[in-house]
Amino acid sequence: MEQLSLALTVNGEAYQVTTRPYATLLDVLHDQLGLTGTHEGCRMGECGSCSVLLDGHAVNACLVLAPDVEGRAVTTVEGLAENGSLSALQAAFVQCGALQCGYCTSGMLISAAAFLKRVQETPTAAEVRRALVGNLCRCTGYAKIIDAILAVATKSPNEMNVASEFAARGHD
Amino acid sequence: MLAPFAYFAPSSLAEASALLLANGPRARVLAGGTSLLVALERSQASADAVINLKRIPSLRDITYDSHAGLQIGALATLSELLRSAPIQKHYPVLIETMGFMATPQVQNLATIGGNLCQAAPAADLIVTLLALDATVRLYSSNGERSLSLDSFLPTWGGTILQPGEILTRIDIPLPRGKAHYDRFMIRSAADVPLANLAGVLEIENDLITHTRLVVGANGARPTRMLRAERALIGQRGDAACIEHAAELVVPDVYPPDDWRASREYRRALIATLTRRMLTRLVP
Repeated sequence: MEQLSLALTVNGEAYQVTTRPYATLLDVLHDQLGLTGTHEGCRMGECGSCSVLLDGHAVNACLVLAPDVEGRAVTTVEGLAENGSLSALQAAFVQCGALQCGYCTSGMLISAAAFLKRVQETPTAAEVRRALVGNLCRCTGYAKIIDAILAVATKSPNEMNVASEFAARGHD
Repeated sequence: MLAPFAYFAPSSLAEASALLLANGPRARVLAGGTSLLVALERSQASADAVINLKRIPSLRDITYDSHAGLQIGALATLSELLRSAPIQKHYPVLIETMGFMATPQVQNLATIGGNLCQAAPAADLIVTLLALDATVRLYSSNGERSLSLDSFLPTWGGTILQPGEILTRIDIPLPRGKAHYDRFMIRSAADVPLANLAGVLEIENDLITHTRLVVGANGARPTRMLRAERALIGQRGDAACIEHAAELVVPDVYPPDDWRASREYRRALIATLTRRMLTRLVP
């Protein structure tokens, strides 16, 4: 079987992994690097639970062939936390109750993070919904997820720091 | 993991074309991968070799010239096209069309060339590109050729790509007059349309001088509504004229009859979309 040596950056750290050319980015992250926050759902690019940032853009990790990420930068849900505490977005998910079973959460967070980085003005609920069309949730009914993203988008950074500390304590 | 295949990432078109020929019909081209990986994952397709085109320089360039129009490298992603300033300014109909397509995650991967080579019967972008009289540029070891997108897509479906031939570029002249895209579906997100339609219409001295009406989700490939187009030329585009064009479209379409919707329902939808489209295009 053909082996492939792959150099990539994940969450700011350089990795060199040996894999197969027919592995997907999802296989590499989940099975080889042990980053199990990236969830496998449909493996057809429809559910969004394996969403990661590839060079800053959200993609379905199940639709990316491993050799195609040579030399590129990947951010998974594990890379969203800042200095060991939840990001403002993650904290807002906790505060708003934007997760139930949690399976879709990592993908939701990645899509939301990509969206918040992209938007220039305060987004509307319709824009947030549009940004999440590639992420399916079967528990929450989406309302609280949209609330959480709007909360981050409209709150000042100062307020969100408080929220982040609150959430970090809640997890201890 | 997927079923094993050999993987190649050539750095030139010549090398890619040679690899395609050497590996036979079970060699697959990788562009965005959003269709290929799903097909391999579900075992709807198998591959002995996957040839990744993304390491070939300049295949994703987007250039605009006020005379030549737009030239899009086959590997430009939908996101790159959506972000392109010349497309936003001079080809808003492309932005309108791509706004309906796929999820943000897929838009970041899927390429325009992959979309055209996939040639899905209900595809969005092909409908609009046909209405804009786009041409495609193909590379092979025998040289390059340009042909209209219309002749790239045979009536029986698929494409006319020959073994070892690679789609490299899509050229789109400046739209004549106004252009719009419309579609109808039951769900709002990430589904294929039940009916879709692109229209182009130019008016000079109150009379219609140029028009294109292209209906998708209609048999093996999107189709120009030639009888309706002819009936519109030289007219003012009043309500009676629009109604007449919509009536001419109905017998000229043969949409699928399946679990999504019946043929008669789709025919009625196409007539409605035609009426709406012409009403938007006529000032």
